[in-house]
Amino acid sequence: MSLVADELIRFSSVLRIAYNFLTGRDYLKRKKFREKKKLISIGLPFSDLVYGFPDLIPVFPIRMHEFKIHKYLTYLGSASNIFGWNRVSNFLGFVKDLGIKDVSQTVDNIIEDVIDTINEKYNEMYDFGEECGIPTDFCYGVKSLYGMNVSKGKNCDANLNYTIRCSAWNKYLESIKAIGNPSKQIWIEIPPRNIGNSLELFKDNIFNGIKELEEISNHSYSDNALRAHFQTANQIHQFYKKIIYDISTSDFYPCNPATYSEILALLNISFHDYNSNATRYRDNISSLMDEMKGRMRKGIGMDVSERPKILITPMFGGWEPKTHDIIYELGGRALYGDWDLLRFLDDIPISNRLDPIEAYAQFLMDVTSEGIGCDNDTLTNSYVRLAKDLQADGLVFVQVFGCHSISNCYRMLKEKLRRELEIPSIALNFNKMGENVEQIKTRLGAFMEMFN
Amino acid sequence: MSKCFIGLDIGSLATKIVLVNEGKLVDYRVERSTFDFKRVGNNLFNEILDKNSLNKNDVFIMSTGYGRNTIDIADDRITEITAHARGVQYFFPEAHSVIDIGGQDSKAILISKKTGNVMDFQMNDKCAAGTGRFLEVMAHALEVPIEEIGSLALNSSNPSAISSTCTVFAESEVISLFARGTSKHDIAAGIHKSIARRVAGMAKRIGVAPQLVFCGGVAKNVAVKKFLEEELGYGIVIPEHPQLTGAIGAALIAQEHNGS
Amino acid sequence: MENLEFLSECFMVLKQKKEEGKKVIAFISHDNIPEELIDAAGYIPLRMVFAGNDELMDASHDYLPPSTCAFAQSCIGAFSIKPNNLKFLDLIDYVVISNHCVSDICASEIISKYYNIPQLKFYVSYTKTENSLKYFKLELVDFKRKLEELRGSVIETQDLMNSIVKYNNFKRKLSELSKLTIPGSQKLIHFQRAILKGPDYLPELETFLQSQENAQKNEKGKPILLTGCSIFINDYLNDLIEDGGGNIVFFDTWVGFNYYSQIFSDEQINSSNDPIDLLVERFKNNIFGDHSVPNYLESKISQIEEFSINYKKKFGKKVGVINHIIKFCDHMSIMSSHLKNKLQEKGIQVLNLERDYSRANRGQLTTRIEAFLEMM
Repeated sequence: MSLVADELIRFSSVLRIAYNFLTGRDYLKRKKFREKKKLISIGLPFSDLVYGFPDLIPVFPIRMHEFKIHKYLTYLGSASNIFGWNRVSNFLGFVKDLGIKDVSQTVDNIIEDVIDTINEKYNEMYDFGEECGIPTDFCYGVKSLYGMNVSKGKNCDANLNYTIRCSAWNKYLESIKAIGNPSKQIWIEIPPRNIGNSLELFKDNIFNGIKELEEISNHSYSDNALRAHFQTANQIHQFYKKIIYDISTSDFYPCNPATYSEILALLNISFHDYNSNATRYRDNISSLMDEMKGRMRKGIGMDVSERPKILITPMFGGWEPKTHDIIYELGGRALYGDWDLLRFLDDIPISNRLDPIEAYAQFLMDVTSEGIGCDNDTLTNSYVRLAKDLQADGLVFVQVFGCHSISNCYRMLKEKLRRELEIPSIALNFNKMGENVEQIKTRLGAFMEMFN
Repeated sequence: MSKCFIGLDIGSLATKIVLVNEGKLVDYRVERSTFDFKRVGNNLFNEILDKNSLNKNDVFIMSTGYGRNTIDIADDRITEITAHARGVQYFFPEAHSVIDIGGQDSKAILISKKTGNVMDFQMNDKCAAGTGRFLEVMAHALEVPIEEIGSLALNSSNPSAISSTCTVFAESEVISLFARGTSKHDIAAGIHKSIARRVAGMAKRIGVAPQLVFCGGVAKNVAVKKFLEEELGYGIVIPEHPQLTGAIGAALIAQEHNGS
Repeated sequence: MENLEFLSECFMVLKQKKEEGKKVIAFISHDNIPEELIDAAGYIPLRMVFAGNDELMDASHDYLPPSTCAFAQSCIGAFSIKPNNLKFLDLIDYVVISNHCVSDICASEIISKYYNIPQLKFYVSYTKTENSLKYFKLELVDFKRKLEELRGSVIETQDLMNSIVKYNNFKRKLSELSKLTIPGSQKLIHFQRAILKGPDYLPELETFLQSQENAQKNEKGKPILLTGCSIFINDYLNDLIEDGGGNIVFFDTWVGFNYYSQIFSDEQINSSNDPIDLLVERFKNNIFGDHSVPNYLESKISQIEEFSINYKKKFGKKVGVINHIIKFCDHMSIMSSHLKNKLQEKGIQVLNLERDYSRANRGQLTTRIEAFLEMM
């Protein structure tokens, strides 16, 4: 029986987040065909503007796929509609504790399916992207996105495209049209630098983007609707940050560290579009926070004080998921915090006096200037800041094959970590999930021995 | 005999020579290229002349393959892409596409139905994965003769998943699987699936379609054929002499260009 | 004149100018950099237009992983090793950090940081909306201000206008090269040297053009339109094409058409009050710059199609297109299959030629080029 599976049952909110992610296709079909909503494809956490319209739904394209989820998870989903997730989760825990082999095995399979099935789908999209002509020298993230768009992109009514400093990203967005995707392409340029009145220009770009979204929606844009969403988004950001910081730096975890890493990974993936329902996501992530803190208060969990904290970053462009399991087996605990590193978890400044478009422009300008749009020097400072805030003992840098943007500043980063934080780091090459696990084990084995 | 045409295909692993007269294959030889492929080429040339009681003036030589520009006995040269495209049509006049997997490279070629000329092509000559070399390395890792690895794979009912695309890492993966108790049949099948997937992926990019001819030394491997068919979703054909299509094509093109 | 001799001469010229007090500002980003502003400031714009090799690429791996644009790797390697033919890299005073592509940003930053060369930033909008043009103007004004700080005085409007006119005339002259029926290798050498040396190359260019006025037409080989990445100085690619029986009749690359086509009409120049606005206008009209989204591919396809049709009408021959893609070039590689498919639908044959600068690549390139020419 898997340790992680055992743990995840206790977190009903994790089951919910995972279930909502995996059953996105059914949810989105219902929204599109029954409720006549429009789907807007996004990549990276740029979904907020879409939530300003009641009949537009942001979608991270992979969620339009059918996942091979265990049929019992479907049953659980149905059961939860009647009994509520907490009761369902408790029931699963009860069943496992009974130790009845077959049933427990089924429960294990359900949970492990969740994790592996997402990763398998990513790999499938990667392979499909290559088959459909994306050059082999692109990074994992762009290749799998390309595959997602070729396969399901036509189900969306529009693509919301933001330009960032990564030229592969910008060109991938341009190629969406070229692959025959009939969806409307809405472009919002983020000014490469914050100089002069570029914030004003950016605000205007966002406004123009909103006008294009209006053409798709049956509703006019309203400041209040966007403000209301920003409130929800800020709550999500705050809860997410608490989960990252309050738990990560603690000496006692509400679960074993491998499970905690798995949860962080799931949050990372689902954060792109808030599982297409921001209020539901907020409620789930808030429950998750409560569940974790509740367990910690009751002393349910694991003492991790002896385990070095290893920050794994960047992982949103693709990373080997088994890395955190390996680190756990080698006596460490793996932490993820990419969205905070890139400042997507900052508060969007909202007030009745402040124009929400201007607030969003300011928010994204900050995201760009220290993350996805900045120079390598600033980006490495962001990595160092995250490592410092998490009190990391070491850093594993994911050097993604074909990434020229966030993943190629290792030399600069290594020097800064040594100089400013005096912590060791290691770069792990990554091309595709599951490809070099043995090599990773060898390298991490040597790395983790530094902490003995 | 009227003027004869010789096709000399100097590959990185094997050198092939054919003698063609009035469009028919008369004789052929195959030998390992070795480091001194010029000597090998010259020897094969002399052998084939002797055996058919010909001298140099009776023949026109077209070279192709990796060493085509270096061999000095050739009267003219043509790339192996054009040569293979022509050569497969000797065996299959209706051929529309070609997959050639050689010792160190693999290629996919699209043939025009109207003209029989090359319409498009794709090559992998930068990486050993998806070539005969990949099979050699894996056969060595499994301690199985290269000639038997195909039939070993066919006996599997549950091919292992080999996820590494790099030959070196795939070898490590194979050793690791074997150490964990996976059967040689299943590992061998996984290896063949991996080659087939890689080559089929390259081929699909240029739109290969039936009638697809599979040639090159690796075409003699029954398991690669089987898994290729699974990847592509249709049957493929193999010429009687899959290793000779390049040389035959070169000879036929020489004949066509020289008015015979 | 062989390349080595030419580069030595460039070194001497630069050295002399430095002794006169001028500064050298280098940049990797090919497109949209306002060299006229640099020139008007009294400085020397130096484009990194040098092809790489195994040694240069390997030298960059201390800083960047191998899965990075081979050209960016070579630029870093050039600063690391400072080969004999590129000694003038020692003379560089500033490096421009610009966002033509993210590899350019990274390479420029690394060069600035590890070789102690102060940086000047100039970032370019990705789209061509009205706001993007306004942003581009902000960058121009900022860049101008920084240059003025460096020189300690204002760059007069007239000086900038004079620079614009100078470069404009130079590009017009350069465009005449493309009309000649001479081997592509001859055109290429002049394009490369002109782009490196700038308007100072004008006398040599004019001499050459004059010498061709009554010369016999000499354009053998199967006609090729080269698109994608440029062929830089010391790159053997053109030799392979000509050895294989091809001849590049049109350089649809930055070292080529994309550079010399960006000219102003006399009317534009005469009617302009603000040279900065002229530069913004040029940026707006630069539809062939691969940096921009979202219509680059369509513009490129139309242009190639138009050239093909006109060439066939004029010479009765079909051009083949070689799409030159330097390994890990984001802009060129992602578009390669679409470009090929769309052009092939229009009956134009395309070879996507992906490569780095390694020696091992040469044989592979030869086979592909020859096979493509055999196909044509």
